[in-house]
Amino acid sequence: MGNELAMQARVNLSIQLPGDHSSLLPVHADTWSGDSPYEVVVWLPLVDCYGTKAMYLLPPAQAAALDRNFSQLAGASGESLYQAIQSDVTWLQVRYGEVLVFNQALPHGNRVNIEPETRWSMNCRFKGVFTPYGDKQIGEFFEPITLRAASRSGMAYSLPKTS
Amino acid sequence: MNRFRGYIFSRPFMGERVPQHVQNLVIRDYCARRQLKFLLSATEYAMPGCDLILTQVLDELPELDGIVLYSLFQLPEGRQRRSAVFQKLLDQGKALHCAVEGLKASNAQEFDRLETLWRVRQTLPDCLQPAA
Repeated sequence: MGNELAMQARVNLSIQLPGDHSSLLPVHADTWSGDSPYEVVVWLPLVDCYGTKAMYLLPPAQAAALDRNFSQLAGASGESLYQAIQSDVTWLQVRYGEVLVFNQALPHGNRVNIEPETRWSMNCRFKGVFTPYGDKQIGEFFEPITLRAASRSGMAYSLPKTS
Repeated sequence: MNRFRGYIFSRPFMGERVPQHVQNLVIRDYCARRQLKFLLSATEYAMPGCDLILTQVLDELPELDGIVLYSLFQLPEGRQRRSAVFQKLLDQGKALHCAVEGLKASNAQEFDRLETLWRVRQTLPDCLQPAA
């Protein structure tokens, strides 16, 4: 990502109660809803996450195959898309104290949590300050957290006036 | 007192155009959440680069606690002019809020933060661009 980072200004908190159908994230890549492909997501569980208490991710090779055949596989809804890739997704196991950094351009999501415990997790996006932005812009969503001296100096520079 | 003047645009800014009533809705909601008394927004003129109405609002500062912009990026594009706006607010101990970004500045450090955001945003057109 480079050594000058922009960070999501307001970190997200996600709570997934057992059996809750009302706050599911259907299969998606963040890039499909306007995020920059230069972003990564840091996913920080506050509890041990496993099975349906966690999330699933489509691995890179399968995601590339999906991209190639998207119109055939997508069907009529997000659910039909999930059914098409269900056998290829990987359910993640991330324990409390561990952190997951993932490429949000890979399709991911969650299903109804049928484990007996609630999932509490936080997520936050990071990207290179000077890489392309998507719909989430500097200022309204991202804020620079590491700017090097040369960048600060360059941004402050203007040519001398001759008149 | 807790009185804040809204400030909206009647022209696009940074390549974006937002209907005026939507700008006002966002400012009104921002003020309600922070318990700021929202005073009817001043609408900047449509002429490119014009900030006459902002100047008028700054002249009104003694009667206000500050200004709520719809967006940080409605400030003047010129660095010196922007700096003068920040200085005027600092000198009078007033606050500047940016509703869309959820940002507030009322001291030198916080105004520096806003200026950094501006400089990065103005630098981005010279950086790597998204693939077409």
